[in-house]
Amino acid sequence: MEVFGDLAGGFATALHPINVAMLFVAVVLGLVIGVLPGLGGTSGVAILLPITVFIAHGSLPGSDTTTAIIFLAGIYWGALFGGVITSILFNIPGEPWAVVLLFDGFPLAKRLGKPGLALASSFVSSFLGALVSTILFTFFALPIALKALEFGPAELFAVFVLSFATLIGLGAEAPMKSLAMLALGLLLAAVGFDTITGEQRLNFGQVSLLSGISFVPVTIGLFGIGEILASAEEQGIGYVENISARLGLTDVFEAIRELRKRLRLVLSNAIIGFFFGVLPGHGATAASFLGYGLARQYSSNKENFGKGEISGIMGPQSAADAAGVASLVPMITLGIPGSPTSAVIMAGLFIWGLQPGPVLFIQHPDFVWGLIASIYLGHLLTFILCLLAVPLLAMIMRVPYAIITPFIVVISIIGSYSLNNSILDVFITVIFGLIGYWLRKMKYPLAPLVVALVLGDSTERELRKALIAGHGSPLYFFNSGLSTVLLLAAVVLVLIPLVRTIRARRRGVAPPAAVAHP
Amino acid sequence: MGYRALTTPQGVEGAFEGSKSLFAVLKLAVPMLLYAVLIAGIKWRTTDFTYTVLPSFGFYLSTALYMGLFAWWLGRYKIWWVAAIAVIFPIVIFAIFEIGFRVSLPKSFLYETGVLPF
Repeated sequence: MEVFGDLAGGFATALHPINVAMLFVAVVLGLVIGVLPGLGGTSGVAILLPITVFIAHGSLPGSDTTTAIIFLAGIYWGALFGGVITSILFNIPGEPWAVVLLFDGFPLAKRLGKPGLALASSFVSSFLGALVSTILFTFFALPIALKALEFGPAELFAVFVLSFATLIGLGAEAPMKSLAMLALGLLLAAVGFDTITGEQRLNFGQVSLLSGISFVPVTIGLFGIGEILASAEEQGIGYVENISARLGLTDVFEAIRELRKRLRLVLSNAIIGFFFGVLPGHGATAASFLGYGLARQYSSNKENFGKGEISGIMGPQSAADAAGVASLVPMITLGIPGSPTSAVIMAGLFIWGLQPGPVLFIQHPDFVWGLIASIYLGHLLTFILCLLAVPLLAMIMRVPYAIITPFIVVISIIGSYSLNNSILDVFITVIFGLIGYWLRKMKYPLAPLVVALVLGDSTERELRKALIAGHGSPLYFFNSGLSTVLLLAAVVLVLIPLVRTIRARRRGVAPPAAVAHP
Repeated sequence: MGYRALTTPQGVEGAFEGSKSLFAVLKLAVPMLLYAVLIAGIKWRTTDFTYTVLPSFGFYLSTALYMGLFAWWLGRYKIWWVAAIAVIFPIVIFAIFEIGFRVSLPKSFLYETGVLPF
């Protein structure tokens, strides 16, 4: 098995002292970001992205692009675990994927008086879910990448279209809204230079817009500032109650006993979460709701759900973490982000001078396998830190609003400025912050916008390369079997919401919401 | 229809829970905009001359003002606490970014004239 040799090499890279040190820093930062209600995984990664440029170019002794990706991914792992802590202890979700934990996690902690068990159950199932997903990642990544290496422009374009179609067809929000956001993202991506001919376009004569609308300031605005503004409304409404956040060894052992009773549920949810995470879209958030639904559906005591049932913690947690890990799979192998957070990580790869996609496996095997190995290490580290540091993390909630909120704004502005030393980027961040807040209020999904913005240039390039190869005929896309199948699948996916609505109308009931999404 | 699409959320809850929540957001959004303007300054360009309407305060002075304002206005801290926040945060940021990562953040008009080191 070639995989084990590659993985061993990856561990050798990931265990390099600087990489371990940065992984540790990243996981701690991720946990803090996860706990803070105004700061999510996506915005946290986006804000810290400019720093990774310095890490990637060797500002720290011995650091390189592998250190940078390990750092960024580590933040994500920390945030995946950390978001649940405040859900369980204070009934305030730190991250969107921790919202389901309000249903059973908080009742178990508060009403049944077992906060330690609730936390431990969440951590062990997260860890197991992530582990399963990482193992699948290890074995699936290389075959997918090798297959993708054979793709020509027609197939690549079809893959991009398919990923856009999943955002529309399987998204949680109204499909037309996803489509609108997708179009907006592609439009923003088109600003600057034409990718093939190099002509100026959509810059309205402004020199500063020639380099295009940068991805990072937009994302920091949409997610970072937008989230801060949205959480401003909830200030004063939420009330932080004082629950003991102690987590003892007995809790961990009890959680492991409970986990063994639910091993089938947790493992199957992890596998479902993996495949759900591979699809571009909402990643961990949608998977956590799906995981909760499955846990409830196949439970023998449904009436316990909502009252502190442990399956209601373990089911969604294992699916969410599995999906979080899996969202990196299409990013690394095909150059398509599986979630907004992995879209930001992908933007990082571009900035460091790497081309995400199958070529990575050939040109930078150290990078890919170092990343995969660091996922194992990162989750182990996160798991241990969570068990040890819950009381400390819970204390972060006590940092006063009047200090933490402006501080996040300040950090966001540093992040957007320092990438290109551009004051225009600062204004882009602030303006997109307001736009992001308004989109959130109007329930427009942000994921399609971000994914389209990061994929816009490559999609256009492959489309036009294919059209040039086909002498302008769109029939070129149906020359290869694979691209035909992918394009047809895309059409089917887009039609799913329509069919669902029509069938619901026939039965004479209101069309159902796609996924329960608060 | 365009207007309605822009203002009607498709959900059960309304856009705002009364004027209180709107003000909570504005309290955050307006200082943020002012903060960004303060960092950049305002310049009025005509063909042969550039007028400085508001001199650029740079990153550090603006941050001190911004964080101080929040601590004083929303946090209602005692004045020495406000001063401590306004001084300590910019210094920590200076140490981390300017010295640690060697990121040069925008400097104030006083830096250009040589009065202040930031």
